[in-house]
Amino acid sequence: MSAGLTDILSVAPRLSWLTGPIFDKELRVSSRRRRNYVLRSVYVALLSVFILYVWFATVSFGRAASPAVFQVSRMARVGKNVITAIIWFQFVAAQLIAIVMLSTSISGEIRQRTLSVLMTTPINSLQIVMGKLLSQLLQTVLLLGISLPLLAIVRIFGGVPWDYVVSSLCITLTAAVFAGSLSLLMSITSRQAYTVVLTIVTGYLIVFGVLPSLIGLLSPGARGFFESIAFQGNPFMTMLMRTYVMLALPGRAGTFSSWPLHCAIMLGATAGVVALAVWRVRKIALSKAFGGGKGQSNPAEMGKPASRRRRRRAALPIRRVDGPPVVWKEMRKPFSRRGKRVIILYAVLAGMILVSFVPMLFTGRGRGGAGYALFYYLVSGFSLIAIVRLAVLSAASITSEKEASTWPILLATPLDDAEILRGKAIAAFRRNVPLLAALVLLHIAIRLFMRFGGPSALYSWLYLIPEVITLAGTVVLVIGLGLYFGIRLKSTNAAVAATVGVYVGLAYFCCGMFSNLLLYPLLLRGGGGPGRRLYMLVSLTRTVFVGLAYAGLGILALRRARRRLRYSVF
Amino acid sequence: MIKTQNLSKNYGDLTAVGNLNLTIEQGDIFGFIGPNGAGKTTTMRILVTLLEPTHGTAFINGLDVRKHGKKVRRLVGYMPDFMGVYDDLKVFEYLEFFAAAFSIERRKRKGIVEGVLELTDLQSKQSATVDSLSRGMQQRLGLARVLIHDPKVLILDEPASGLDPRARIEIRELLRELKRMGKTIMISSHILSELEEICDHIGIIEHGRMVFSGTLADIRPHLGIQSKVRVKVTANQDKAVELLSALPPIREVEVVDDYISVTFHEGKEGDGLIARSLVEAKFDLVSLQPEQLKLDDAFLQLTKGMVH
Ligand SMILES: Nc1ncnc2c1ncn2[C@@H]1O[C@H](COP(=O)(O)OP(=O)(O)OP(=O)(O)O)[C@@H](O)[C@H]1O
Ligand SMILES: [Mg+2]
Repeated sequence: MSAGLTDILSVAPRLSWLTGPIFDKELRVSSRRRRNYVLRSVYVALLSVFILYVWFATVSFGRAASPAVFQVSRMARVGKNVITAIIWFQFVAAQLIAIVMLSTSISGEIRQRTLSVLMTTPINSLQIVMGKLLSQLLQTVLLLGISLPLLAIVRIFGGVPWDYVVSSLCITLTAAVFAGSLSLLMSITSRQAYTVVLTIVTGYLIVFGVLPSLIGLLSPGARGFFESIAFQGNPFMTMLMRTYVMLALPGRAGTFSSWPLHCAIMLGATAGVVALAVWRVRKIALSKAFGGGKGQSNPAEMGKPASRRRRRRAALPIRRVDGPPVVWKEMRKPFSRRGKRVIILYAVLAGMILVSFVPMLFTGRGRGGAGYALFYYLVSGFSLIAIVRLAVLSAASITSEKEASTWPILLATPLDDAEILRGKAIAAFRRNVPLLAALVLLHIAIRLFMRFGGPSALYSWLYLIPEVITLAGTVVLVIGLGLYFGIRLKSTNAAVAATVGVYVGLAYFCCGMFSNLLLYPLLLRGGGGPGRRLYMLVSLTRTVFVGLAYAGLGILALRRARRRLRYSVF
Repeated sequence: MIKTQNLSKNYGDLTAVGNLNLTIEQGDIFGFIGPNGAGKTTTMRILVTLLEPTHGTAFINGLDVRKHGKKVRRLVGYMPDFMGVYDDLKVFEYLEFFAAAFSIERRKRKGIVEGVLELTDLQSKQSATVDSLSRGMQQRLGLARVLIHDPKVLILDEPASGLDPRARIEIRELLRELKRMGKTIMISSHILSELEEICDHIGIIEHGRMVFSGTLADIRPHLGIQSKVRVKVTANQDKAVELLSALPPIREVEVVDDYISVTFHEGKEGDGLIARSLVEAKFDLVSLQPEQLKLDDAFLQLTKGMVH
């Protein structure tokens, strides 16, 4: 890897009018960072697990379904499935990685007060932006390179056309470039990496997930036309179309989709985002360098005129401390630093939910697939937001004290370790109550509006109980993990990433994939009748069990956190 | 009141504090000085139970800091070198939060907070948000916070850094006032002239080892420094030099600029003798001024100026 890097470094000077010395510096620094090695190993590990899962799922599913026919078409089918899996994994991973890698690109410079120093050198803001963008994207591409040999090997099984591989790689690359530039743009005004990541992911869910479903739901007549427009700028839909074509699935008749056009659109959009970023970087750097005054010393106030916010807060009345001090202090924090914007975001989300319910109310039923898809996006979007917010609130309640060096002061008070942890946990939960309540309501709403008939209605209501138990378990787990990593790690970003990462690993890979593997045969063997009931019973118990296991793990994490509380105060 | 026994703290191979023994009596102000990286902050952190020592123990008011963490924390007010503030809170709320953390009853808190605000001259700022305060104000707020639970022992790590001269003088006054109230204070600072004025005892530490500990008066014989006097006469300076050189307790006489610098033999003082001799010989004595031993000089002599 390092040989590759030095090669690239030697080519870099030719591009220097565009990237300047920043690119060079970034590559040198990032090859030294432990973060990148961790990222690479995690990527490879996840990819392998994922491929193995797809492999076994295809094989066991196929065998159970039709043992005789299976032998003949087995290899081609497995090959296609595995390739699709790799390509989709790459596609999602590349975007996520690009977003994460660039999420502190400008805010980091501002925090270290190097941005205004940079602006006093002959480096211009285009060079800063491009240097950052290209160097991090290069890391992303190198990461993708790891899975290329795999693609080549799996192609031996046959059945996968080259043009699918090529077109999907192009779609992946342009999507990653776009996501990265968006992340860079946001990092100009957002201090914390997780705000950037969360906002972009939520935005993606809305624009690329909820919106297309809404269009499909609301305008059945002109569907093909609207969808064609909405899909053309939507990397996920374009990718989906390519996959449909490759797997020779019916897809969506009447919807136009061209991947080269899509890639061109994405590159154009990237150029626009970059231009905006260049403009904003210059503006902010200049205001840092000249407009600031003495109040600018606080990095918390970056990117905004500090005095306005201060005046607003100064006008609030003094509140007396009530109850346990740690809880009180956490609850005293504003809902979000960028109050209004977040509230608007939630209002938009709520509006979309309402809009999506209305047609179902009138037509009586959610329109099959589109309705389910919409609910699916809403529930997963909400769960994601709730979990990440919970992770942020619990992890940051400790790491932000470390970052602001108030942690030693708090620990020098006679508050018990358990008291501090309990206070932080309670506050994290209480601050997240509205979102959690919304999530439970959403689960109830699905059942109300979907109007299942017959025995599955009862089953779907019955299933609410384990779902709520799992949710409660998840809350305990995420708070436990958040506080644990908050205590073990120094930076908020690392602690939040570790919490979300471990949770996703547990939830998706351990509880999701492998228990699914165990359940498949059961589902298939039964067919209908008693077998189906057995399957339901098993999956019900599984969900309860998972909830309880989460809660147990969460409590374990809290106990570990308590034991480690005073290990690394500084 | 504060006592350490062979206190050591290692970070890997690096010995931040090595076999440190120190005793601070009740009601003393103890100045803790040493070059950068000497181990002052580390020692203080151990004393306030935020760091575990590698070896040795420390006692505060007879309580072992390793065993009675919570009791020690109640006794001690600690002001760290880099003090953070909760930027979402107002000054009053910030102080009340800590009052609550020290489990002071709710109805008593208001009075206590107002008391410390007055003591640190921050009343006018009580509804300002903490992060809008200037550096010096935040420092004062830190001091106010330290005092909120009326601790017996104060451990202050560079409390005067970043303060303007006026605020420094105010802090000095405040510390004197606290001493009068019977508190034991351990204070580290790089501004030696400041410590000189308020400290009863000083400890000089280098590479984690105590190179000197005692009163300022002790430091003179410790270093083998003799006392010096500056003498100024209106005329006939040369004759005055001759006269003074003949006096028995005087070791050295030299002319520096427009005054005469007189050095006595070790342990001897003779201001009166000089004055009497000069006046009897009809010199016009303008001034007679003992030359202060600067803590700075002692510091330079005792430490080797190596930063690790
Ligand atoms: N967490 C740590 N890990 C490793 N070494 C440390 C750590 N904290 C302090 N040290 C080392 O311990 C030594 C003593 O540091 P300390 O902060 O106590 O010095 P100090 O006397 O307070 O210096 P200053 O006057 O600069 O504040 C230094 O060499 C420092 O590098
Ligand atoms: Mg220090």
